[in-house]
Amino acid sequence: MIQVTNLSKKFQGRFALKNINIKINREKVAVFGPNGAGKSTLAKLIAGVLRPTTGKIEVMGHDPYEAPFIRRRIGLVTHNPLLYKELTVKENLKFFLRIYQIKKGHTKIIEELGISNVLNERVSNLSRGYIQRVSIARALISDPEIIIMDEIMNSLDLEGKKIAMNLIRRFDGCLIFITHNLEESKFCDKFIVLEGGELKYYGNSFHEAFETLNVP
Amino acid sequence: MFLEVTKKDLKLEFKTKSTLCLMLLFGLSCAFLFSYVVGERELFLPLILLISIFTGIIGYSISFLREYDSETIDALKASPLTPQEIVMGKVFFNLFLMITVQFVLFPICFALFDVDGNFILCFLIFLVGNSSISLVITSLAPLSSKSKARELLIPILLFPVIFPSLVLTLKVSKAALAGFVDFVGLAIIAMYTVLILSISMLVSDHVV
Repeated sequence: MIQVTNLSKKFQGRFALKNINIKINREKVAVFGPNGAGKSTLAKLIAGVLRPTTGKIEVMGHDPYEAPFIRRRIGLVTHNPLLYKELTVKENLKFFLRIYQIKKGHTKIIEELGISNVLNERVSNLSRGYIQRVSIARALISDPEIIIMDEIMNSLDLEGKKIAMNLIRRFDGCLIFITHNLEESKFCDKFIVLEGGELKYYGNSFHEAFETLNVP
Repeated sequence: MFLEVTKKDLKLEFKTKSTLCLMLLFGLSCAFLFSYVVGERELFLPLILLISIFTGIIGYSISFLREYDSETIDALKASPLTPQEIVMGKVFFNLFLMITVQFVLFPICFALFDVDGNFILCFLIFLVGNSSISLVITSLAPLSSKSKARELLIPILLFPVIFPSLVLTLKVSKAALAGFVDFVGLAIIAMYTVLILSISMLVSDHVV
């Protein structure tokens, strides 16, 4: 599903990611690493937001940066909500529905995330938890086959976390779950550890990933 | 699809009214100040062109850079929109704002400077030139969007490129004021605008 080959990304002469090779199938993959490890950069590269400096990313056989149609099948949720704060929740979702050319089937996700009561509220008037729920709805309304979640749990309250975890557990596509909280990611099938832009571990064992991470 | 970006920006603008108010405030201040201090009729067209450039830059700055500052550009880039569609959406939004501003500003300036001539023809021809200026500004401005000194870089990048549009708009508007339509001038404006837009579309993959 996702094939990353010799991937490197440089920002102003500094490597954010260096020579990464991974292959992800229809499975749930957790990504760990300290701040500045390159986790968000990897997420943005797979989502087609950034262009690799060197190397190649293939999502279902296509480069996500070059092929807009493949981005339709990827949902990106980050710790930054990527919403228009001056617009209402409904206006935000409507805009994304239009650019993803979706006409129906989105009401279920809105109800499931518990945001149907705030649809007419401006995003700027919502709490951080609700903004994050809307952000999840924005990414999932297109019913993507690949979901990339970059530290989304931090701003969610207990109920929000529960809803998000239920959605994640039920999801049967490819999930890339970036987190600082190792306990939250135990449900994943595979684990990636990044450090200083380098791939330190990629495998099935949570414990090995935990040890590689070298948490004091 | 780019019209969805334009529609979204217009909706944002109608909610905040920040860009349009700023553009109008700047334009009206310049118009009143110059008409009071100088008041020369010959200054009418250069002044309104000058206002066009800066209102265009204000419009661009708020519409495009807002996406970068709030990182919503990442949501657009992660969507099925192409960089060309994102740029075109912004181009048409800025064009709409600039035309709206001119509908208010042009008649006021015309009256303030007590200009003699064919108002309607001059206004219509000026709108064509003004649209060219708006298109050139917005289509080239993303070039500076990734730079740290982008506010400084925009005018430096734009002025050499916008100069032909400015001179031609001045020329065709002057002719229109006297009651003539300079078709050759208009054709050159159109061709130049298409050329710059095409270049912008070709490089948008690398700059958005």
